[in-house]
This record gives sequence, C-alpha cells and structure tokens, in this order.
Amino acid sequence: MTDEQLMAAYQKGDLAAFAALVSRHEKPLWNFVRRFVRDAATAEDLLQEVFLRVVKSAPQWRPTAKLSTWLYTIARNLCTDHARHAGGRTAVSLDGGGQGSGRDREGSGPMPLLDRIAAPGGGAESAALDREIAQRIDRAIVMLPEEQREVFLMREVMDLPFAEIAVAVGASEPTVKSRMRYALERLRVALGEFRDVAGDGLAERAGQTT
Amino acid sequence: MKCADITLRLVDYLYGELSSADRSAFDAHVAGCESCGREVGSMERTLGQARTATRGVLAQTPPAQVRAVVLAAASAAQKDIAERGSFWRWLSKPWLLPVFAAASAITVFVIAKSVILNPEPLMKAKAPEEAALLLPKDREVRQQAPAQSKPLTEAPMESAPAADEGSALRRVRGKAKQNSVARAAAEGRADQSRWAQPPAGWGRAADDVNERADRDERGEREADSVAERSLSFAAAPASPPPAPAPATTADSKAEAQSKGRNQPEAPLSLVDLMRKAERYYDERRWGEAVAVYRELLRRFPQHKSIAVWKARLATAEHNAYRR
Repeated sequence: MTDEQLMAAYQKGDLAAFAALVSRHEKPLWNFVRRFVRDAATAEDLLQEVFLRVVKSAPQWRPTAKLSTWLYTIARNLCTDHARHAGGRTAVSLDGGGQGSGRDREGSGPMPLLDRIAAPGGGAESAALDREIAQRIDRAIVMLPEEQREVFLMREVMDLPFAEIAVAVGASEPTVKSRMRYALERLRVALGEFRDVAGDGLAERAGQTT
Repeated sequence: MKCADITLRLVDYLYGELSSADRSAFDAHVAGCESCGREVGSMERTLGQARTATRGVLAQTPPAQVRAVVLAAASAAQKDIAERGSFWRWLSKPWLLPVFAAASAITVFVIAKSVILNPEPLMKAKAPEEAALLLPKDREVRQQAPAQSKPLTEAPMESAPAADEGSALRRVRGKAKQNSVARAAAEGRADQSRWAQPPAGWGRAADDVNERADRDERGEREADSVAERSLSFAAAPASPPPAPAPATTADSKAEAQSKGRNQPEAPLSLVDLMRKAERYYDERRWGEAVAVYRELLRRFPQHKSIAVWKARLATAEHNAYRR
C-alpha cells in the first residue's frame, strides 16, 4: 500500500493505516530531526509535532503530492524554525505552582550518539575503526551549515530524490545538488583529518583523498 | 567535458543522474585527467562511508513514547475526521448551497424573532462566557448562579443538535451581542473558509486554514467521550490528571458538576482558551502555554482534543523548565 493510500484510509477513519504510516516514516524522520537539533528531548518533541500536524491536517489532505514530501517538509520546517528560535530565546519565568520539574528528562541532554551504541562484536579492531569513522561523520554532519545539512540528511537519511528536496527546501534542483557537493566536501575533510591521525592502516580504508 | 564540468556534474554522477551521453563524456574525461580521477574517487569513498555510517551504526530507533502520544492523538481525532470529512464533503456539493442558505435564513429568522421578542435575558448576561448564551437551559443556570461559569462541555448540547444550526446561532449571537462583534467576525471568516474548496493538505498554508477551521469547530462540538475512553495517556506522565478540579466550596460533587465550578474570576471560554493556548504555543511562550494547557485539561477533561493538549503541554513544559 502506498503512503497516499494509507493516508486516504486514515481519512476514512482507519487508525491502523495511520499506525502503518508512523511505522514507515518515524525512523527516517527521527534520524533527520535527531541530527538537525542536537538535543534529544527537543528532537523527540519535534518528531511528535510532525505527526500531530499530520493528524490535524488529515481532513484537508488531498493526494496532490507525495505524502513523504509533505511529511519531510513539515519536519524540515519545524527544525529550521526551531533553529531560528533557539538562539534568541530568553528564559521563561515560571509562574507559581510549577509541578516538580515537568517532564523529567534527566540524562537526555545533548546526546553523543555513539556513546550509546555498543561496539559490535567480532573483529574488534575493524569494528572500532568503523565506529571511529562513524563518529567522525556524525560530528561532521552536525557541524555542516544548516542548508547543507538538511540536503544531506534528506538525501541520505530520508532517501528523498533531489527534485523533492528542492520542493521541500524551496530551492532549485541545481542549487540543492551543489549544496550536496559542499556537504560531501566537508565530510571528506573530516574523514581526511581522521586518516592523518590514525595512520596507515586506516588510510587504506578511508582512501587517499589528498 | 572540462574539469569545471566534472565538478558541476559530480553529484549527478554519484547519484546516477547523468544521461548516458553525459555519463560517457564524464567517464572519458575522468579517465584521462589525473586530478579529476582523484577527486571523483575520493568523493565516491566519502559518500560511501557517510552512507554506511548513517544507515548503519548511526541509525537510531525513535523513542517509543512518540508513537504512543501520536497514536493517541490520531485515535482521538479519528472519529472526528470521519464525521467531518463526510459532512463537509456532502456540504460542499454546489447544488446544496441554495438549500443550505434557505435553511440558515429560516433558522436565523426564527431565532432572531425570539431574541427580539424576549431580549431581556440577553441584556443581563454580562459574563464573557460565550457558551451557548441563547440556549434556554443555560440561561436558567446563569440566572441561578450569575457569578459562576459553566464549562462549555457541560452545556446542554441537545439544544444545539446540528453544526449548521450552531453556526446560525453564532451568527445571530454576533449580531445580538455588541461585545462579541470581533469574535463573530472571526467566526464568519471560518465559516467562509468552509464554503471554499478545501485546499490541498500541503505545507503551512493548509495547516493554518485547517487550524482555523479546527479551532472554530472544536469549540462548538460535544466532548467525544467514546474516543477518549479508548486512549492511553501513559505517554504524558507530567500532565495533571484529567480529574475535575475540586470545587472550592463544600458543595457536593453532583452539585458542583451541575452548576459549574466556582472560579474567582470569570474564566475564559473553551474557544478563547484554545486560541490562547495555540497562540502561546506557536509563539513559543512556553510558560504561558503550560498554564493555559493545564487550565484546558483541568476544566475540560472530557474534551476530545485532550490527547493533543497533553502532548503539547508536555512539549511546553519541557521547553519551559529547560530554560
């Protein structure tokens, strides 16, 4: 069943269809949002908000465009809005009667992804190497300028074609592609630094990238 | 192709988006140009490693709580969607327009007549509470206890059996009540938006239209206790329990429920509260949003939107307390 068919079924009241849509998209959306906003708790809120907006807009939805593009456009807009507001926000004074600490999120602050991922068993050395490369890439993705990061994540994590990314970010397809190239160049630099540090064994794996 | 073209077309090459002619030209240049060969090779490896990492060890599973909250909200909206979808689809049939216009004109006339013949109670009602002011039962309650307000969900809904009658009522109220002109105008806009062809569910514009109609709609409708009972709210731990607020006097519970709750000041209506909550939420005024969503949950524990309110309260609380 396509996304659009599932959405049409949900419009008619089929909750299971909506659950299927969530199952299908929550992981790519999460991996997009999670790398867009560094704070895990915020990412969780944003992911939730993406689906809440779909719930609210469901009655008006018409299958005029791909559902995935719409979904990822919502996610992208929420993320960029958040990034825009995250800087200039002032502390909110809490009027009396605050109940404890609200949603308890202890230990979920800015989360280094790989700290929570156990190194896979088997060839310990090569696994450690993969882990190290992944960590480099993870950090480099977070450091990408926003417009490059969103294009990279939409293409590689959400698997959207460039044409749809162009629609979602409101830029031309050639622009989107050149952002992708800049993103890859930055990632290459991150991996190149790593190769210099780690020495020969890794150079073979990481490739010569003068 | 020249070296500059290779750079320009690199992403097309990496993602297999070159035409076969371009691909041949690309390959021919790269084969004969050492620096382009190195460049293309290193970019291929970089993309390969990035892809392996992002789809492998870096790929994460979202927190299960998101799914729980979202499905609860979807379930709450489900019945509403089915009803509203079929209702408005039916309404939007063009041949029904004159029929509907005639029906509302008659309704308006009948109600306006009763208002003109008996304007007294309207004049007395000064509370900003807008919940079905014209409904006789509510009026009686109001006269018995003028200082008390009555939550909308407890209004006698059998007096407003259909949405079209409800909107007619609202229009009349807009004319009859001088102090609600602005609100009536807002409602008029929402009504018009229903006549227009519903926009495609695309992007923020549709979202806004939807929210406007939704706000309007949710305010008028009966609490959907059936849908709510099927929900699990384990997902929103910090939200206040959806129990009715305790009456401040020693009234018996039944009395408190039949007369509404004692409030020090006249509280906002459901519609106003919901508008306020959405505005604070959209403007990221988290502390204020928390307060309003808590009030909504406390005062309208049976409303069908509480799953959404709880989810937003959790978000607002998180953002408010984080700072």
